Amino acid sequence: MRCFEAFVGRHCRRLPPCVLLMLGVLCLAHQSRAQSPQAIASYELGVFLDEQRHDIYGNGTITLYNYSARALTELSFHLYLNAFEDEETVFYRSPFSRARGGSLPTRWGGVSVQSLRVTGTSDELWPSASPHSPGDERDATSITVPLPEPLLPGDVQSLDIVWTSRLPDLVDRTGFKRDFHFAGQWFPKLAKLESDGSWAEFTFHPHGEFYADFGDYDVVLDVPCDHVVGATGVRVARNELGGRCRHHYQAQNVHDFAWTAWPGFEEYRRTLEGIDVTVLAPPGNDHNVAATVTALEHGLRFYGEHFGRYPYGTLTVVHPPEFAPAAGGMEYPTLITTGGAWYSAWLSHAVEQVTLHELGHQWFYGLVASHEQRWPFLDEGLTSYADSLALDALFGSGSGSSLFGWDISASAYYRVLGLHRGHDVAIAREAREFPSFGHLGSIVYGRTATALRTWERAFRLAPGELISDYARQHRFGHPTPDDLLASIGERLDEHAVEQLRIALLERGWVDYAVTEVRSEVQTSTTGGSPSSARDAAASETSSSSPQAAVTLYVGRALVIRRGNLQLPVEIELTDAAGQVTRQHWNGRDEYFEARHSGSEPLVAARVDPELNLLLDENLSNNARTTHPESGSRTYGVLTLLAEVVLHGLLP
Amino acid sequence: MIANALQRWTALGYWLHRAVGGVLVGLLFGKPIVGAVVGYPDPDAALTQPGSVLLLDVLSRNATALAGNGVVALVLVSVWGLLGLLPLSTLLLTLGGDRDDGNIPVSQLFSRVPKTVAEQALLSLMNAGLVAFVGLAGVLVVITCNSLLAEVGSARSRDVWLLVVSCPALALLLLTQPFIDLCRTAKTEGHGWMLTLAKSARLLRERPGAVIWSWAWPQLAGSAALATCAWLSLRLFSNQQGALWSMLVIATQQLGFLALTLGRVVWLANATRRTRIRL
Repeated sequence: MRCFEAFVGRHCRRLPPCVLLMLGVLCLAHQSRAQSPQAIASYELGVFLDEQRHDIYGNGTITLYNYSARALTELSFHLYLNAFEDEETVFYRSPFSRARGGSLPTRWGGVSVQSLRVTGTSDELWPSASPHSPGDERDATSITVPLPEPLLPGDVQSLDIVWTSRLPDLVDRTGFKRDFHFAGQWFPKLAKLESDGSWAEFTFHPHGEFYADFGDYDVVLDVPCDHVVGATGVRVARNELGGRCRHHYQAQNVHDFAWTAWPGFEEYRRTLEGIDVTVLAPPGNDHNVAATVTALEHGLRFYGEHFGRYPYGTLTVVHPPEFAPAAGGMEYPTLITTGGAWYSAWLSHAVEQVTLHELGHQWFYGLVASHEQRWPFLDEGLTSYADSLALDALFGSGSGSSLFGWDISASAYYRVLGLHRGHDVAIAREAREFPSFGHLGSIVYGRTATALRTWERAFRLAPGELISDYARQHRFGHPTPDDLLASIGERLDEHAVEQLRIALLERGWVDYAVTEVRSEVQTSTTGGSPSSARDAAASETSSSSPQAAVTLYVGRALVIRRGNLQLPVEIELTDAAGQVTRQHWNGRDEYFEARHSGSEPLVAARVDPELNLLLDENLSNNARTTHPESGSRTYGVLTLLAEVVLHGLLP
Repeated sequence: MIANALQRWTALGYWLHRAVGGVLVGLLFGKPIVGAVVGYPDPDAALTQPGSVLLLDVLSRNATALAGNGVVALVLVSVWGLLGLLPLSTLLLTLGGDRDDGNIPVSQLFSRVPKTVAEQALLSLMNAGLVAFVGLAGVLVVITCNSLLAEVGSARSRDVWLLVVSCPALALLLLTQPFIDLCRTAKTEGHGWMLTLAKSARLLRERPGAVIWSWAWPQLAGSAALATCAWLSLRLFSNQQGALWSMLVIATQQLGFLALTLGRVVWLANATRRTRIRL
């Protein structure tokens, strides 16, 4: 109902009630469509894990609903595991080829499709499939298959498929290590069907992630009974036969399915915020699990309040064993992976941080399913922004780290990360177009979070308010940056949104600097007309003794705005008596003169005293004083630290 | 323990050397940090704003300068460590004074200093060698055990086992310090190298508890005093502005460091007495 209320509030106060009622019904229809997506691509799969060979044998039925306006003559599949079939794939030819695992796999992986047929027919479709990805003979992660008959708009097509997935040595969140198996992006998966009837085809590049249609998944996993299993969705049955167990999972309104199996997992079950939560962790991780549960409870409540309730009944959290860290820190619908040594939670907030980040992806990836390859900032950037908010709410000023009373906020870390590469490239660009993974990490994660925190603070919005509408309006949708800006436009004025567009799409940057602070004695009179409150007080004194002189100081602080972003900012002026006043500048001009007049000279000026503009590239030039202080206490602390180190080193 | 004026002066010199070294290193790192926020009306308050946004900004923007100063600091500490043999030697000589009242004549002190400095330098080398040897042996043991236990039990149980097997090496590393200090005091008494080593080893072997306790408690007490002073200066006085309060903060911190240094001096005096009694 938010859109209805907003529309009525702004435009429709004079419309007749029947029209308003009709608008309301339309709005409700829109809302319900957003809340309950159509199942575009659904999968019924039966899967057998050969735990010795680390192969997955699968078969099942894929059902595609052509919701587009065009007849489909071909299908497009992502065979993501083929990224790991040799060193010639796009994945391994990219500069970030070794990905998060840090090394090449000792065993290569891949997907081979044995059979693909239209249900009820015997004609094999796969022999006519394209042998490689479009435009790249050495890669086979994006494969096109012609359909025997066009699939008309509104029609549904079922396809029977048989395939084998050969898991690689765990490299990039998928594969096996010893007896641990994590199956992510493991089955032949339809590409996202766009509304114009085209397929969102792309090869698997290590900078980017995924993009798919919502659908229903019904998967039976056949694994040895000693393996503890976690998967997307709800486990509806578990049957045992001859030492093997069949775990039956179902998930509605999701766009992927991942699962894990390892004999070593300990299983912890909780109900948090009405959600059945399962945490799978290696033995000896009790404290990590407790920290994970704390973060989940907080996150489900926090994200639910700000971005809409978590709509699924289950959530599975996988803490991979210490020998398989490459499986950690990843998100899938209703399943996330965390990570860290067994003592991590004793030392830092790292467990809570990674948990809140991956949980945040349940909204910005899971529910708001943007194109992760095309616009990585829409999932990673928005999630980083969201997790910094959640961490602040959970840990306060020490949300990033806290050591012996020295608190560093998550925002401070994201700011350093985000400004590390400056504004080398725009935030909103395709994952593979980033010059390096360092740039992607810095700009997509850090700079997006920093920019959004800046807008939130500069325009006095409540935490999370900036993207709250976006998260709710595009739930179960596939929004673009334009959709994000349009949603934000419902909260901010046109100028603010335009500035945000520049920050996201055009390498926007800003640096406010105080370049001058000075005062002059303008006049020295008896009983002159005062121009400030302080002077008024002085004037009262002088009126009772007309011989007393009033000295008036007139000064200015010059604040320069560098960069192409225009953001409103406060300027704090301090006079020699310690009196502090503030002036507001809308930031639209190239510079601002903060005028001062009073009985004391102006001695210092500081722009953005509350450090709201985290995107400000240089904070060192945000202040200027005519009477610099020595910073003696800082020297004192550093000296003491040095003395203690010397004491430990010297005889 | 520190009975006479000469001992007090040399103890003060011992502390002063470390304090000046600390100031020099502190200045090296403080200059780029404070220099970056010198425009702020109160640089100390700006750097300690909640969330540390400005501090992290300053550290990241000046990372190169700080890294360069880190190299300079390493050189400085090395040179300062060598120079530190002088106050250490004079302290040890005064602690082991030859006269009945415990004093050592100043002329004799000056004449014995060069030889003592050389001896202490050799002992420092020996200390470094011992630490390196024991440390390396410990690392090798841990690496071997880690590979043997690679697929056994949980990560936590493996780490606990590694901690257990590395305990002897840690204990040896810890024992190295009182042993070398005993050697320092014994050598200052004028004995030959073999006798010095043998006496020090025998002291540790015969009364390990007493020696380790008399080594540990002054340092623990000094550390506790340091922590208390640091806490006081950061918590109680942090909201008080002004130059006088700043001086009080720094004085409190330095008092803590003085206590830490005194702890070591007390132990060295104790070690001197122990080596003298045994000899």
